[in-house]
Amino acid sequence: MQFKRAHITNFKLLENVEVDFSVDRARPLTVIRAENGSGKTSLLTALQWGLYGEKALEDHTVPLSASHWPAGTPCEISVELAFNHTAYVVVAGQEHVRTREYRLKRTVTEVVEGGKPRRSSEQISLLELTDRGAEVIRAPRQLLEQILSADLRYVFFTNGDAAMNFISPQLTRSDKRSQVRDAIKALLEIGVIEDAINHVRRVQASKRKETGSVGGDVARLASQVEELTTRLEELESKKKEITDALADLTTRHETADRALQEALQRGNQEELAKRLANVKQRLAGAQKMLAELSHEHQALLNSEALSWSLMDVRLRAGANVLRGMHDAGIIPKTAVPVLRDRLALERCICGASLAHGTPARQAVEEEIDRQRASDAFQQRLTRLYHQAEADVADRDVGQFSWDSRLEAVLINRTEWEKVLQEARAEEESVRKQIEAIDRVDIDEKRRNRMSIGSALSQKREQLQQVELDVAMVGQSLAQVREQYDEVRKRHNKLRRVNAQLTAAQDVLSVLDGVMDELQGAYLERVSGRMDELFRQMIAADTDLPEQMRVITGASITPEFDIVVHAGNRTLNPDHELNGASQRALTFAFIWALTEVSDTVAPRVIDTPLGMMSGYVKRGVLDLISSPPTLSEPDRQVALFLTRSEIAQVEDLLDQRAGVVFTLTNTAAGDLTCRHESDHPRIVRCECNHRQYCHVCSRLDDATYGLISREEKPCQ
Amino acid sequence: MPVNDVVNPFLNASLRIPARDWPLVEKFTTTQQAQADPDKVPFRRYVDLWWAGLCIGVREGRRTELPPNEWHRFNDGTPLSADPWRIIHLQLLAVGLTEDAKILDDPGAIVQMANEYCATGLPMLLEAMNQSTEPIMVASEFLRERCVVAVIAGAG
Repeated sequence: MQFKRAHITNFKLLENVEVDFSVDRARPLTVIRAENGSGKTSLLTALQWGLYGEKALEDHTVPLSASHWPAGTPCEISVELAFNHTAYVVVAGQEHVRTREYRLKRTVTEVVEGGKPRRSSEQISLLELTDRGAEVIRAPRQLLEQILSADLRYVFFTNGDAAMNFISPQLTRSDKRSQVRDAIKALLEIGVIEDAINHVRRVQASKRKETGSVGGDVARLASQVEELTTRLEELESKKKEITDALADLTTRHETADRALQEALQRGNQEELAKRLANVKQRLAGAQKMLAELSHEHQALLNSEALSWSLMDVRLRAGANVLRGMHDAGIIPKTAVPVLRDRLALERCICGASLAHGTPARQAVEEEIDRQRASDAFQQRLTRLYHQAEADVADRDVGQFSWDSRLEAVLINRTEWEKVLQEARAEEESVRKQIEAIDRVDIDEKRRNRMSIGSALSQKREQLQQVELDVAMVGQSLAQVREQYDEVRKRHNKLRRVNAQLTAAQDVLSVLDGVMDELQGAYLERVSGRMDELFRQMIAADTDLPEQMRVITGASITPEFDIVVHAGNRTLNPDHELNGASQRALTFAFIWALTEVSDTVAPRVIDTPLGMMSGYVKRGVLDLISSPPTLSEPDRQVALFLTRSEIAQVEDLLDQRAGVVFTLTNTAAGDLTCRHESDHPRIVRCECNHRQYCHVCSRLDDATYGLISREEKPCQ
Repeated sequence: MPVNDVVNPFLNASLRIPARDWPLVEKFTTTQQAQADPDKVPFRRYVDLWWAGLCIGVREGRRTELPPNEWHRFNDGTPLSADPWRIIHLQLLAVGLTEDAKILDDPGAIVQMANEYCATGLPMLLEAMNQSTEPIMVASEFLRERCVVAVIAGAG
């Protein structure tokens, strides 16, 4: 998973904040500069809430809306996330990589009364953006769980202080052990079972609450169904309007594009226009070919070849039985004509008389009757025998070799995927070259195309928005209808739920045993990787006390204690490491967890470099922000940093950060410029880690050597 | 003999799968979602997925019996006529497993046997597909691994 951007509305002080993330492989770091009280923790929570909803919240009794929001007034809170997910699937020893684009929206309405929040049920809508348009994902929660398990959120979304819980001297040894054990347990992804049990418990609890108010419930639910149906109709109508407008704009865009290309062809840019037309043709060709290959791949899963490959021995056994019958002369039946001839001759092959009235003649006549009765069956057997013989012969000459066909399809798919990627890259490159042409006649046409393109993008955005709303309202409608059905089926369902609960508990007890075994294996892997990373991070720490410069590594004991080794001694990191090295050790542990999890997801860390300085700070940042090597998948790291954390590592951020911006609380006491706002809120400006402007300027700008982005910041 | 001449003796038999697997069978077949991307919906008809489950069950060598109310009947044997090779395979399989051609006289018993093999293999395949965003790739590797083992072990 890679975040592209997030839009947060009314989540704490994040009233209307757009956050974008670096997707540049060479600069995988996103830096969000924010001082204390400037929305870092809220943003960290909002991102998790967007993905996982209520279960991402530490304390459910704390409101999500801002404290200035009027009591008793509904507040609609939403988080929209644009992200992609790359799946790496190994088939027949070959790795197949496929990236899909998604857009997620989660909303909830909250009313706060007496300081206590009351929230509606969350609405979630997930779209996949494909070449064919936006497709609604029918089971969004399941897909999100596949992409980034909720169990792993503590590993991928952390803050510097909470991370210290793994080795903090403020906690008891048993607390620390359980933190480490739980983190490793999370890698085992047992959340599905825990969720199942929680789900059953929730259902059970809700069923108990239901009393005799069936009639009232039915009326209420019927009214809700009506309201939602009307809303859905309105949205569908709006969707149609936008779709029509989109079709019109698409035509205009194509016309403008053609006009631009013609203009280019007239001038000395003819070559570029030709290349663009050519690359578009290649793109279309590759897309078509990939679609065909996808269908061919599907046909392979439904093929006779697969049946043969999986059941070869059994099918041959059947053919052998028939062959045996054939060899024994049981099929095909040829005895009836012979017996008839013998009756006509009134003499058996053995020489006995078959004259009328003899017992032998009667026996032969009975045999003929019996064989005639079984003729139909014999014919079927004979036909099956011949079919089997032909199929086995084909199989023997390799006609039904499924795995070689699969391999051929996979190789083709990989090659065409490559063609597609190359064509896309070339298209982008040619477009950039065309955009760079600075000629008046072309400029006008280019502006026209861009203007229509921009309108087109906006319309597409609107369409996605409406599609999200349609999906959301559709889901609400389905939920309400389901509730309506559930009310009626209450008694029967309760019995079934109890049975499910018992079953889930049984399964969990079995899994506990298995999990202990697995934990040991994972512990070893995490421990080994943590050791390597920790040694890298502290390699140049000259601030360490003399005795600590001989650190030979770190490990996790079977009892889940994190310890540091110095020669023959085992050190307790709580008391025998300085603060910076403690943080480095914690990050080494967390980083090892993310790597061992085999999950590719954004690593979002709030205040990671607090309490660090010097070489350790640089060592930690260097390691966590380094771009992936050629063989590694994309990675993404988002750091929420204060100015003091940024100090002394600005040059490293220059190299590694693909996106940098600043968040500011308009009510912060040390701002230099006054913000016109009747309530505190978090605002974004484009200042990077070396800049300030009228939005983010603070009294200590000079201390950190920041430079102004504007001539006169405060006016 | 051309397979087009194959007579379908299973027309009146009931093709069944475990009822609990039905939602995922719908998810991974295009019957109810004609425009679906084959990469995400790797099987065309219910009978295709049923057949894949049967093949895996036979490969595992295990039948799963279920009480009558835990089966879901999704069709009679008509869809088998569209792929006559399946009719031949079903019959050969039945003869191979019982080592007696008399079983061919009881199409209902053959299909019930197939249903029970399917009840073993189908949940395994569905679970694998349901854990990934790329079901066709996962299904391919799942089936390929079993084909490889079948070749090595000479089992089936």
